Amino acid sequence: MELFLEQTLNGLQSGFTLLMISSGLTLIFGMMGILNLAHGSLFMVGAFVAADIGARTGSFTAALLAGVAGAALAGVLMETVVVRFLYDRDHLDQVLATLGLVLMANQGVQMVWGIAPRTVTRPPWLEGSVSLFGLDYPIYRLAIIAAGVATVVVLWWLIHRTKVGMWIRAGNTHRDLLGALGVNVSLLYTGVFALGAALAGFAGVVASPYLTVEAGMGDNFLILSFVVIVIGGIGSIRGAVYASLLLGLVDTWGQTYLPTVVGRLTDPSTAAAIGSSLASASIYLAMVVVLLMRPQGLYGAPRG
Amino acid sequence: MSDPTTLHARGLDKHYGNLHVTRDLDLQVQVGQVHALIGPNGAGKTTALGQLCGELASDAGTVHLDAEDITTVDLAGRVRRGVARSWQISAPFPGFTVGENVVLAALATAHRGFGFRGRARRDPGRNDRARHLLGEVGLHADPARPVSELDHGGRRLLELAMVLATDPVVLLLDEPMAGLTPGEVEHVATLLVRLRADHGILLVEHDMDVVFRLADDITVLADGAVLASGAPEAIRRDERVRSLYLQEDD
Amino acid sequence: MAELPEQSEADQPQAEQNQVEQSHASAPLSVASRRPMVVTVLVLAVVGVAPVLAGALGFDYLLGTLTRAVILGMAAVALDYVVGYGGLVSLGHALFLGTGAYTAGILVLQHDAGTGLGTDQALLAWPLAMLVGAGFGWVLGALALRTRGVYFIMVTLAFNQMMFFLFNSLAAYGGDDGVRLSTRDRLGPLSLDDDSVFYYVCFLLLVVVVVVFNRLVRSPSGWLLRGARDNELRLRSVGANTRRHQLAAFVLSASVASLAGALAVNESQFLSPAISHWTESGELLVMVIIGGVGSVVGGVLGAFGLLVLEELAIEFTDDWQFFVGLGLIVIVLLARRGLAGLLLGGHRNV
Repeated sequence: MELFLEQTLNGLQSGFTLLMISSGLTLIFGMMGILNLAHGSLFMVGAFVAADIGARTGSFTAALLAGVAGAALAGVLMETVVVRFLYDRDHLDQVLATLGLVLMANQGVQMVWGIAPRTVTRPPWLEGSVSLFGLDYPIYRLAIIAAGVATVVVLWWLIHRTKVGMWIRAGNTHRDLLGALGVNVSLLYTGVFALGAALAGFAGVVASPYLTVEAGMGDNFLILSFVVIVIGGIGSIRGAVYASLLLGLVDTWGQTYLPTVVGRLTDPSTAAAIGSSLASASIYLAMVVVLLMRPQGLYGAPRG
Repeated sequence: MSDPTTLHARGLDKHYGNLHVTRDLDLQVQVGQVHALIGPNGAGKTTALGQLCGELASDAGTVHLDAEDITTVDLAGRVRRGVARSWQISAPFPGFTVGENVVLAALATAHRGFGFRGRARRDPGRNDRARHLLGEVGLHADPARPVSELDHGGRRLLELAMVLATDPVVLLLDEPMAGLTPGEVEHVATLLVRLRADHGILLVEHDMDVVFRLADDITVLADGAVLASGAPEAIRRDERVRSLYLQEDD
Repeated sequence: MAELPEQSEADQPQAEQNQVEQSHASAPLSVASRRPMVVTVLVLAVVGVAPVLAGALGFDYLLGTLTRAVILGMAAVALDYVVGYGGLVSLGHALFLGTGAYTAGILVLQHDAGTGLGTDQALLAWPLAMLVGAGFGWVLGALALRTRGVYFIMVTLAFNQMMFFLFNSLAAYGGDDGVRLSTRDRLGPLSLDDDSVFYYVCFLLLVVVVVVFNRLVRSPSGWLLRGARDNELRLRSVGANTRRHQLAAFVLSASVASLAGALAVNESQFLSPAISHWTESGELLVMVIIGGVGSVVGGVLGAFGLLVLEELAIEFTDDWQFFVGLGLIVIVLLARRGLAGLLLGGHRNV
């Protein structure tokens, strides 16, 4: 039972991390219709900047702020120099140009910080564990879950309770009207992009203690974010929340329990190998199920 | 002599959320006849057409082609059974020439499995048929030129040629006269008279001269429901129809 | 709204109709152009003599690179059919490189292990690789084609990642480190260990692939594929089963890409999941666009172009990937038609 609780919490933690990245992506995609392969690179930039500042100052807080700011800045640069010229281009162009950004980013972090992997360390005030229903659970992971919940709340407030949020919602379906209403669409787009970048950077910093800070670290999260969007529907924060948490739980439970299930059928070493590959495939199997039954996603409008 | 092939729609309904766009529509199109569907803008004519051809799914009601229930058959399936529609806005295939567009339309319904073999360009039978269809609709433009060079009238004629290439029995035409010059309207009207002999034609149109000249039957739609239906003379004299159009003029 | 008209006049006779019909009796429907074929023959001829040229200029060491260009060019040609002619941007085609590589590679490993389940015969392994590729193409393609546009791109990318992790988990066959293959496949009694011989075997297969796709593009299925790319609803409204033709294109493309994968693992004699990494899918797309989207032979030009560029870039700096990325952005933002586009001018349509 303890194992189940622990793995469920781990699943939520990884789900919320994924949510922080995919919520930015779904906002950007819902509004500007752009497929940005370099979104994972913003996650990476956040982690690298945080590692650098963290090493220099020894302060996690400074590292976090720097990471988020660095990612947001990189996002603004990305949008103003490249991405804004892609809004009207076809998808192939968007894929190729943002692939170029990924290549530049992956090589770029190596050019600036070298090949040796970096680290971001947890702050001392979040170390240790707390007792939950008889389980000793790391405080830091709980903090990530809390940050995730806070993100959802803040985003919901932003989108449903502010004027900017109204513009964002309008931008999802009536892009042309916004300009006619006197909204500075260009600035709004850059702003939304920067917000998405900041979220990705934040995720990059807080997830780093569990990952290796290296080139390409954000790419798997990018692809998982796409799965979130396919499952959850486009432009829907609610869909992104459910899909991210679902995927986080499926992945974690799968990694834990599938080898055991498979182990009943074969010997332990084969079970470990097959179980682990089945587990990593399980996320995509979830996507397959959604594609078969409801191709428009859980909360999306019909498409395809 | 057997009964002429007939497309029947019974009780067709369509909602978009709270918007009831088509209400309990009954309609019949028979080979040898032109049935005109008229009504003010927003009456639901194009939606009804969409439901008849299979582009839009109906929320209630049935569509039969003679005895066969085709209500759940999709757009392409209905075309293969002989029910084809033309579009209000012509959208020919840009990567192909005028003649190739007609060939492409014919290829679409050719029952050949995958169609990997052979050259699409080089089937003399198909090419001759394409040329014949272009002649039949009266499109005189050079068939080897890109479609982008066609003017509006030419595109409307190409649209008709492509529909005919699918070898239809029933034609569902969405405002074929839209944007045509008086000479071109005359031309298409004569074409429809010729086609009527072997096809059933549903004509959605705003040009009342054409409607009353060609139609054997007229159905008037208002707010998605049938206001009146019958022979042209009866419709012309129908008080409800007159007031509907007089209202529009105000 | 118009007034209801009074009684209309009688229909006018149109006797001139017959005259017009006769003058169109034999007008051609298309403009045939020799340019696509000339370009194709030229490109293939250059590729055919490339090793000889390289040897004469003292670039013998480039044979491996040239072979890789032929192999990836084959995969790019296959991808272009789906992307350029089908309008379906697949960002997951590297997974088929993987299916082919692992089919051929596992068969060699089993053969070495003497289990009786393997083979080093190309005539068995390579068609099997194509079959496996076709199978995956069918299942994954049918699923992906339930979506369109960006979603299709995302789904193909996700499937790519799924297969990449699957290949990574095959511990018995190298896992994520990969494993060396003791030998290349044999073509009947012929050994393919000689690099020149292997080059020409790959080149021959490339010629066959280019010929096959040229015919496909000109076939009814190819026309319907292009029509579906231009306007899917319109094509369905003249009765076409568009999904069938798109799936067929995807399966054929997957099968050929899988063959390329089998050839690739033979070229390097190293079986590793890296061949199916998603950035490889990106590289294939780059080849398609450098070569010019929508021409069959463009993929070959793109493969050679990209690999030559990479060789040159490596000479200058270790961080060459940065400049490849930069170049990519510049090309996309400025140019549009690619190299083959320039060569073929307006003769894209076949």
